[in-house]
Amino acid sequence: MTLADPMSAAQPPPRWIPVALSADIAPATPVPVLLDGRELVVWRGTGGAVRVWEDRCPHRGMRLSFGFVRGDTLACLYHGWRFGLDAGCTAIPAHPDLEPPKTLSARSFAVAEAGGLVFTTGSPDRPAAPPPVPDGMTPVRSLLVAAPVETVRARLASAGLEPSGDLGRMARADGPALLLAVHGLDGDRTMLHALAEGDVAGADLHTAMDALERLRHSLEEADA
Amino acid sequence: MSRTDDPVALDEWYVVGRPEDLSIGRPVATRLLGAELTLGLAGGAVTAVETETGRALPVTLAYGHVWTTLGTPTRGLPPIAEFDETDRRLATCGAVHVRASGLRLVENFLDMAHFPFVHTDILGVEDRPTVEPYDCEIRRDVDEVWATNCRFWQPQAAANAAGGQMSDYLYRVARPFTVLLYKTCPSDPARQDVIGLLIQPTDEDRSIAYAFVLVVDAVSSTTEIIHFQQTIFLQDRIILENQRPRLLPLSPRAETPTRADLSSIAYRRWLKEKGLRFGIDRREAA
Repeated sequence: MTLADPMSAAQPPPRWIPVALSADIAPATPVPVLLDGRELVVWRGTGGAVRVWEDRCPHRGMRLSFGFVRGDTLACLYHGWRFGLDAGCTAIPAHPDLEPPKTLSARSFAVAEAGGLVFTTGSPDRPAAPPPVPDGMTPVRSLLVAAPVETVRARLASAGLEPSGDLGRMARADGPALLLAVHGLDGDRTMLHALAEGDVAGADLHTAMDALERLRHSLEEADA
Repeated sequence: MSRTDDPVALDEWYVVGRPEDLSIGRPVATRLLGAELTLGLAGGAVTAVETETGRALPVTLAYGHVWTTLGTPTRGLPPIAEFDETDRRLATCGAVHVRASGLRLVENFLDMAHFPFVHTDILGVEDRPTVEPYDCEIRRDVDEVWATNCRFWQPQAAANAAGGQMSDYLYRVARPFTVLLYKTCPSDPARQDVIGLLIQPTDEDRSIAYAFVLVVDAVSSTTEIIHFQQTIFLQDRIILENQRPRLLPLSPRAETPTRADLSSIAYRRWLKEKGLRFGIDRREAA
């Protein structure tokens, strides 16, 4: 399942899809991320800005997630080509005197960071409104669920988890409510990026993790 | 994936192993171009059979390896004159599996610009990354791709190299999946050492690589030579298995070369002229 071809007339409007917890995107460490079967790289410059690109260098197709970050540039591991925050190639080490052509760039996608989550639309297009994430949440963990994203969405909805698009709110009796950001990895697997409401630490964080394990179990169970 | 129907791929000789890796009474299963093969050793002779049909395949032992073909090649193995020189030592590294198209392996072998980044402090250093202009041509008389006058600064050019040197390289793509490198011999600058990469394309996106080194080197042990080659190759494997698409794109829109990629540009043009389909990315620009 791939995202719609930008040239297609029946293109759905762009929407913010959660792809990582902000806390998991440390400065200077590129992170490979799957989105609907596509390989993306999420990285943060030392200045703090986060970017989401296609995980592929335009030179010889090497995955940029294996690369290294220097300041606000991401360098490809294969030949050291450097790309700046605007995705343009800024240096080609084999030709130190060459100014890389302006058209040479990584393929970059719209990115937003809000409420402790990193979002992308998977295309250059961005919706008018930012992602509707409340502030003041504590990141808990990203939970891998061995079930397709449609199944996960349907089961969260039927469990009354107040889903709003890709974000669902799970109220709990034994602790702070959890925000679940739904992220389809590929045809069989889904990631739930979970945050807890309020400033949560210690034992409350552990009970939140236990609740997520129970949730995963119920989402992965075969249909009755 | 089943056996390819691409005649350009089928009508070539391929390495499928080394004689010393076969033993009597213990057949070895392997794959070539999507077909299952069974290799054996009987009565002192190496045998190769296409497993599904039982068809016996021709076998040649040469350059320290076992070669076979599924098709009808129009010519024999590429001549490598250095194998006739009696004072050389052959070190063969044996089979290394790579989840990548054999064509990507050849391109990586031809490439120098990655030395400072992938083989850091061995074949290159980051503060000397320049790839000087070199020459490359498709030699029509022998139907091979040659890159000459290649030069690169290397801190440790070979197992027995003492200190850094400017290395002179000559690359020869003898067949679509057979590539050789000729380097100035450290102990005798008038001669060249030969490093070869013989590729067994098991499937379009998987290969088995057999590296060999044929050197005039009285100093390093065979183990040291093999270890050096294996270190280099395992560093390359991280790259090879993470290039996308896995198959080789020939469209200029898909991947952007620079002057340092002259040999890759010639190699891709050569493959396109041959009409090779096996291992080539299908999504081609019009």
